[in-house]
Amino acid sequence: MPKPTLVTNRIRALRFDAAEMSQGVLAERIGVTRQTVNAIEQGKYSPSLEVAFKIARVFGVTLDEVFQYPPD
Amino acid sequence: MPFEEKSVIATTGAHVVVFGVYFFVVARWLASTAADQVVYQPLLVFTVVPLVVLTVISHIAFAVLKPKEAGAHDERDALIALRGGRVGGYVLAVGAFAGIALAMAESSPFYIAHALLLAWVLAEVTDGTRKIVLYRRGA
Repeated sequence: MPKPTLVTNRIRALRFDAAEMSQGVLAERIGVTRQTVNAIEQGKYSPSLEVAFKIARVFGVTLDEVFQYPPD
Repeated sequence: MPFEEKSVIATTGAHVVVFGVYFFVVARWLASTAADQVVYQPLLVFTVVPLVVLTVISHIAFAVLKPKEAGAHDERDALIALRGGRVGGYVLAVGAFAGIALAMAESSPFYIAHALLLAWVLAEVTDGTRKIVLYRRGA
């Protein structure tokens, strides 16, 4: 089965830089479950644009510092 | 494991167990009795009771074990519910047409009822299985 999304992300690194913020805390701040944060982090789920912006806002970075898409 | 995933596993499992027993019992009756003579109605109605009980008890257990996660639902759950529910519709449609075909062939109401029931159960199990796969492999 192909990977469900080509979108990659730096959430794990950003959490580390944010004093090792837990997935649970991030989940609470963006309004999703901890399991959804885990799925996003592992590339199993591409979040909605709204959740993506919320994640970027939590870490105080731009969207493309969190999510990347491979060039053609 | 998200609450919704546990919920899907419990509901799908309850359908498999309860209707597995139901179809096993009815098939045994059918082996020794003509279809028109099989009194399946009370058993079918009663089958709903263990289905509801199993589902409710499992959900209460999940909520007690992890109260913070009870009822938690987000956009990923909604997407999986949407995607997971597509295939079951086709299964149900095939069963509906099978029921119509049996009615047109003036088959016993027993077979018509059970073709529809089987289609519904298979649709539920198909949807549940697909949702579990989406939770595990990614959506």
